[in-house]
Order: sequence, then C-alpha cells, then structure tokens
Amino acid sequence: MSLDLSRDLLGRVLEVALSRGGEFADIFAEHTRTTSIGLAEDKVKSVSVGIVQGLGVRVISGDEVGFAYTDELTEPELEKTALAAAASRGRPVHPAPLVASDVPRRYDVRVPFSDVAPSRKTDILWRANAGARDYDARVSEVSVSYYDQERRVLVANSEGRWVEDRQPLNLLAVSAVAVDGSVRQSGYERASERRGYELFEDVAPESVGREAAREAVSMLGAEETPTGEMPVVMPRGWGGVLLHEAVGHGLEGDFVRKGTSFYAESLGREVASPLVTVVDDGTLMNHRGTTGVDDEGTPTQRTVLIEKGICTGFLFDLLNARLMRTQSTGNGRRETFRHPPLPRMTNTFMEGGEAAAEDLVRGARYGLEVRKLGGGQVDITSGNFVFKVSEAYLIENGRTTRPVRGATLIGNGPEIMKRVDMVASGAGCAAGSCGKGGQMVPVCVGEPGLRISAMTIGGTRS
Amino acid sequence: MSVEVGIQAVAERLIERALDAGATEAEAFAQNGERAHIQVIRGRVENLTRAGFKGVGLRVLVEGRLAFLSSSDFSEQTLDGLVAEAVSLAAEATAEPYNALPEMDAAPEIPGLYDPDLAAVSLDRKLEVAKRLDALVFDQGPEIHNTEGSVYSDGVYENLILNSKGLVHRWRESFVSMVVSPVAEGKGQKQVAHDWTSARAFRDLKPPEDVAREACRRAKLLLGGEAVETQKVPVVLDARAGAALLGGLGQAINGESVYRGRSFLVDQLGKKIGSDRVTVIDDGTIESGMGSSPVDGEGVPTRRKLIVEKGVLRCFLYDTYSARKAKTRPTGNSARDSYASRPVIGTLNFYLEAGERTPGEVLSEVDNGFFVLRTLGGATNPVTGDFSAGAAGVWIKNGQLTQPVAKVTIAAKMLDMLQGIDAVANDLTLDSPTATPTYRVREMTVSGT
Repeated sequence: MSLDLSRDLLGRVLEVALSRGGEFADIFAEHTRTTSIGLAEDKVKSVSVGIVQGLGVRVISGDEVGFAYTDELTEPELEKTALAAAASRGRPVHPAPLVASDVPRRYDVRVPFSDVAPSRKTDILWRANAGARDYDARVSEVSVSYYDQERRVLVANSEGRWVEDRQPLNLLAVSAVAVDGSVRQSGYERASERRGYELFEDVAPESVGREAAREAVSMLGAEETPTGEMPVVMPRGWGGVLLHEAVGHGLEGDFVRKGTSFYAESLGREVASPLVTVVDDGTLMNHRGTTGVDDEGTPTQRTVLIEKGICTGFLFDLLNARLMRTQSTGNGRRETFRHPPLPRMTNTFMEGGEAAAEDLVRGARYGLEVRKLGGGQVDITSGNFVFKVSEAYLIENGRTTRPVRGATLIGNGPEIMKRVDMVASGAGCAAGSCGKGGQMVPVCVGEPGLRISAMTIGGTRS
Repeated sequence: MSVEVGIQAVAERLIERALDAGATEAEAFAQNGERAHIQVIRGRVENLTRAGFKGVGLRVLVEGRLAFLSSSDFSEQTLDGLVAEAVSLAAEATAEPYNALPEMDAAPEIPGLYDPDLAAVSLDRKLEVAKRLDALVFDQGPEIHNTEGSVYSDGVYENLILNSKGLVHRWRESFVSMVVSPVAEGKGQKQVAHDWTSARAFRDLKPPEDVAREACRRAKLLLGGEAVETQKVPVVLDARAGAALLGGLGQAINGESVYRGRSFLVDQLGKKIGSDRVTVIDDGTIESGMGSSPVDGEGVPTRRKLIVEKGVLRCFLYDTYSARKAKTRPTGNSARDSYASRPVIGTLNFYLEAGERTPGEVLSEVDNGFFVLRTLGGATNPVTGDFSAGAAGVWIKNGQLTQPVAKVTIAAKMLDMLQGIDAVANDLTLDSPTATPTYRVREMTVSGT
C-alpha cells in the first residue's frame, strides 16, 4: 500500500488546476496508517487499524483560494478534483516541471512499529496500567490509550517543488481515577514522540501510568482553590501551554495578516518582560511537533517569535507569507488531506533564564504553584485566554504547602507576559495536540519554569 | 463532485470476508457524501472547498474480542488486507461477554433530516449568501471595523449500517450552516463575537440580516470588558453560552463512565440533582433536529428520554455493550464521529426544556449579578463535577445591563449549579445538537481581581 502517484500524473493535475488562471497550485497527497489500542477496567477493549488516503488540490489567486480533495486516486477523479479547485476565470498558467527536493531527516527510528508484533504493543498498555494500579490502593480506574502511526506525505506544486516525507508518530496516554470516600479525582499523563518502539525503552510505560496515578491521588486531599489575583509559579514543560495560548496563536500569520490578532501590529515592539524569549522550532529531533517539511513542502525551521520581550517574528504558511511579502517559516500544517493548510505552531517553547528553579516559589509570600495543566483556549482578537489547572499547591511564606483543586487561570496574553518576573534555567517540552479551525495537529509546548507576578485564579471560593 | 461508490456492496463484502476469516459477528458502517465550505472575508473568497468523500468502518467480534478497522481506500486489495489484519488483531483484545451487536429493530421515520432541494442550490447562490452575510456586519455601527470571516458550509451524507445479524439501516441527511464573526474596535480593545444559524435544509436558515445583527450586538456589548472583583453573585447564562453546563452533564450521564466510576453522578439515579425548573431531555427523533437520527451508531433506533425530570435524575445513556454490562436496555445513544471512529456513547438532541418567561424578565429580577454572553475554555470535569470557565458578558445592576466584563471565570459545583437554577427562559432554539434557553443560577463564584 503506497502513494503510487507519478510525477507525470501530478504534473498533469497541476496543469488542470491552473487551466483557468491563478498564481499558484499545489497538491498534498497522504497515506496514513494507524494502529490504536485501548485498555480499561483491566481489559484490552479493542484493537484498531485505519487507513487515511487521499489528495487535496489547492489553487491560489491573489487572496482567494480554491480547494478540493478526493479519496479516489484515479486520473479522471484527480482531474475532476483539480477543476473543482480551479479559479473561475483567467488564462491558463503553466506549472514548472517537478523536481524532487531532499527532505531533512528529523526522525530517528530504530525499531519501526511495522516490525513490532501486536502482542508487544498491548504489552506496553498492560505495563502502563500496572504502573498506575500499583501506585496506590485508592486508584479505582485506569484507562490507557495507545497509537502508532506512519504518515506518508507527498507535496507537489506549480513552482516545481516535489517532496516526500515519512512521518512516524506514537502516543501512550494514561488516565487514572482515584477515589477516597466521596471524593473523586482524575490524573492524566502521556508520552509521545516521532520514534519507533525504542521510545518505550527510554520511557518506561509504568512511569507514565505512575505519573497519572500520582496526580489523581495527590489531589484527593485538595481543598478548594483560593481565587483572585496572586503570584503564580508555572511548571517546567507543560507550563508552555501558557505560551501556546497566550502568545503563540496570536503570532500565527493568518490572524496577523487579517488584522484580527491582538499582536497584528506588534513586530519590533515590546510584548513581554525582557526575561522572555520564545521560539517555535519544527526541527527538533523526534519531537511530536516536528516534521522534515511542513504540509506545504517547506522545510521546517527555528523561528524566534519573541526575543528578550520584543516581538521578532510571526509564523507563516505559503499563502499568508505571499500576501505579506515574506517567506514561509515552514509552519503550513494540515490535519489530513481533507483540510487546507493553516499557519500553525510546531514545538513552541520559552528559552531558559537564570533563576534557580527552587527560587521561583521561595520569593512569594502567598500564591499558587501549578504542577500540571489541562487544556486551554484563547480568543486571539482580545488576547484573553483561559486554562484549567489539574494539579496545584498553595504557596505560603515562600513554601509549597497544601494541594488545591478546581483552579482555572485567566488573563490577557500581552498583560500576563509582561508580568513574567522570574524564568528558571534549563528547558522542558511536553507533547500535546492543538486545535484550530476544526483541525487538530500534534505539537509540543515547553518552558523552563517561570513565575508570573500576578494572575487571576478562578474557582469556587471567594 | 460526486463519488459513485456502491457503499452497500463494499459493506456486504467486508462482512462476508470478516466471517470467512473467523469473525463471529461483524458490522460495517459506510458513508459517502459531498461537502462545500465557503469562507469570505471583506468580499473576497478566502477559501472555497468542494469535495466528495467516502469511507467505511468495520467492527469485528471474535468470540467477544473486539477489533475495528477503517479506510477511505475501497480497493479490494486494501480492504481484504485490513480485514485479515483486524480479525487477527482481535486475538490481542480481552474477551468480554458483553460485546455483541444489536438485532434488527424497526427505526422511527424522522422527517426533515434530508433536504432534496440542496443539490439544486448553485455554488453562485452559496457564494452570494456568504458574501452578503460578511458585508452586512459593516452596516451595524461604527464600532465594527473588521471580520474574522463569514462561513457558509453544507454537506450531504448517505449512511449505511449493516451487521451479520441481519440488521440494515440506510438513511440520508444534510446540514447547512452560516457563521459570522464581526470584530468591534474601541476603548483600546478589539472584540470578536460570533453568531450562527444551522439547519437541515437551506430554506430553514435564518436570514443573514438577523445573524449579522445578533453577532454585532454581541461584539458591541462585550467591547471594553474588564475584570470585576471576585464575588459570589447570581449568574444569567445567555442561550448561546448556557450549553457549556449541558456538555458536562452529557458526559457525566454516559452509562459506561458511570459504571466505571468516572462520573460525579454515580449513585445519583432517582435522586434530586437539580431544582424543580430543571428538565433535561435527550431525543434523537425531533423533526429536522440537528442531532436527530433514525438509528444510532450501531443501528439501534433512537428515542426520546427524560434525563432529568423536574430536578430528578431519571436515566443514563447506553449503547449495546454498556447496557448489557449494566443489565439494562440500550438507549440508542451509540454515537460515531465519522466512519473512521469506533462508536462511543453520546447525546443526540440534548437540551434544557424551556420555561415560560422572557430572557428580559429573567434578567430584570437581578439586583447585582453577571449576564454571561460567552464562555471560553474547559468548562466541566465530569469526574469531579466541577464547572469552571472563562466568561465574558455584561454586569447587571438593578435589573439593568451596565458595564462589559471580561477576563473573569465563573465556577461552581455542577450539582450546586443544577440545584441553583431558579429561572429558565422561553428562548430555546434547537439549532445545535446541545442547546439551552437563557437560564439563571442563584449563585456562582465570579473570579476576577
């Protein structure tokens, strides 16, 4: 099973796509094969295998885009698809001959999952399950999900570009529930990289389970979170969700071009505390947000978005870069061939600072130390964001004291980023998924640990 | 574009192959259809997507062991390979006696799910509607400077469910929707708001004028919002914001989650979990309903169920597997996102029943409180029963709307929220699968400065 599409054939399809005018056309073809397994209640609930295969054709005329896709990879169907995407009026434009380009190698796979017997895959889930159940007797229910995937992509465009990439991806996630009397808490942990089976030699599945269980159990004794404005210490790794929501989305080229982002006019201006340097880097070896080329065939790169508090860059796909007379930063991404590309983050993180990690808490008389975060959301127009805290502790007189539950963090991106008053040294990344315009893509978020001098905590206590 | 694929032939062949390969039961869910998506911004067609699609999902049971496959590639070679693989993968699953496929049962006739006239609506007409909607926002006052774009989208689907026990259901459905997102500017802020209309038939869409006016009214009301001090006050949730609570309730009444202790409603069946004003219904049989379907994701006929009756929790949702496990009957709530995903338990048309008073009356009784027009993020944890969301809206003083509010959260225990609902308005519209009218909660924590 493969993408059996010749350069001649796709050349003809591009010809059809531009037969009614337009400046640019591209084809994105995909063959993705995924094996997924679910375990719950000490049972392997199901094993699934799926194939997503098809092709999308896009035609750009100025700021207008025609897009069509098909899962029938026959020549007549591809031509029909190209015509559906074609501009409505204009003279034919001839695409350049397709020349294959090299793709940087960004994944290091030693044991491909296609060589791994199914029973060794289910073993990963059983081990994660055991890690969670053995942690504490109060762990009442554990569910484990797993997938491994190989996504083969092919991009051909009217400027003659032809690239192919094979993108591995895998994930192990554990959700645990702990119960004590009438109190019920949940915990969650995942590991995900673009690697082979060897990932689970470096990251023991038991440790993923244990971490989910630890979170659930440690929150059993939590009291309701205090509310209102106070200093907040964000954790290494997952704390990067804050950057992703508060800053990252607002720096995506489509929102910037349309002027709907709060950051649209921010280039060269101070948008954060001088301690803050934020980078999007799609080239980091084996990371969940990494790819060799983006879904428009542009090599991924390292883009500095904020340097010492000054906004220095945006994230671009081809369309928005073209319209803003700049270059794509290799951030044109799409969920599948059925989705048009959008400028998206890859691995987005804050660079390390100079503070010692233990000093972040020490300096606060009263505040919140966040250990784990749930999902977040941002309104990129106002810059307001919110995210859920799944594990947090009170800071009293410079020390971490009691666990608190039910906290939600809310604020305004530009305001909060100016209140970053300590950044720890080092780095840390966490794997996640990002949704935009109805499309989910794999990403990493990260930061080294930081403190915000004042941020609003939402909860039920007043 | 149209895809001429005999989904019935593909489904029948898959089941046959699965049984040949050793499956004891098999079920195919196949879909094909066409979609159009138009996004307009300031008169320009930012994106015009047209596509046909198809796909099939197959569940196989080998003596109680479950495997699933899905593919958009219908070539015999691919499908035969996948079936063989799925049947052998089933050996890795744990045998569960509750795993079984449903028997054939007659499905209700639900009118209005498919609009035969949609095919006759030309692309030009759809483009015109989208452009008109986007242009209309600029007539709504000097504060409206921009839009995030206006979207028209539609889809026509043919669905087929077939299993080895002789169950077969085939039905067509259509969706049409328009969304508008004007941006208001002023008071040093930018503020976007959204409004939408969606229906099964093109002719049932609301006029673009109404949608544009409502979205702009919201953007203007929200403009300049700042945080208020943290306090406990009555909160009125507007009909467009109120569904956040119901989404969490929908997850918590999932019969499988309840069985596994992953719901705050464990042990609450038959108990009073809400005030007398709270009646919540799940109904897959509503004429033209956005969440209606003659059968659920595994072919069980859907029906109307009282979930909460005057505050009393009456029923959980079950598919065939979880119903057998909990020793009850399936409720027709097996849901599929698409052919590519295994069915899981979900709601159909899930709504809070309307009351008799107008939203204005419900607001006017509040001396000091918060009128929420929009929620942001997270909202509910069905395990712990906590509700917490970012919120934007307008402060209410002596029954009147006063200054805009943003950057705050509203939070409460979901049980306290349900018990605290002391007024429900009459403005319910079932244009989303999950819907509420405007309602008031006696007390929630509004966290700000």
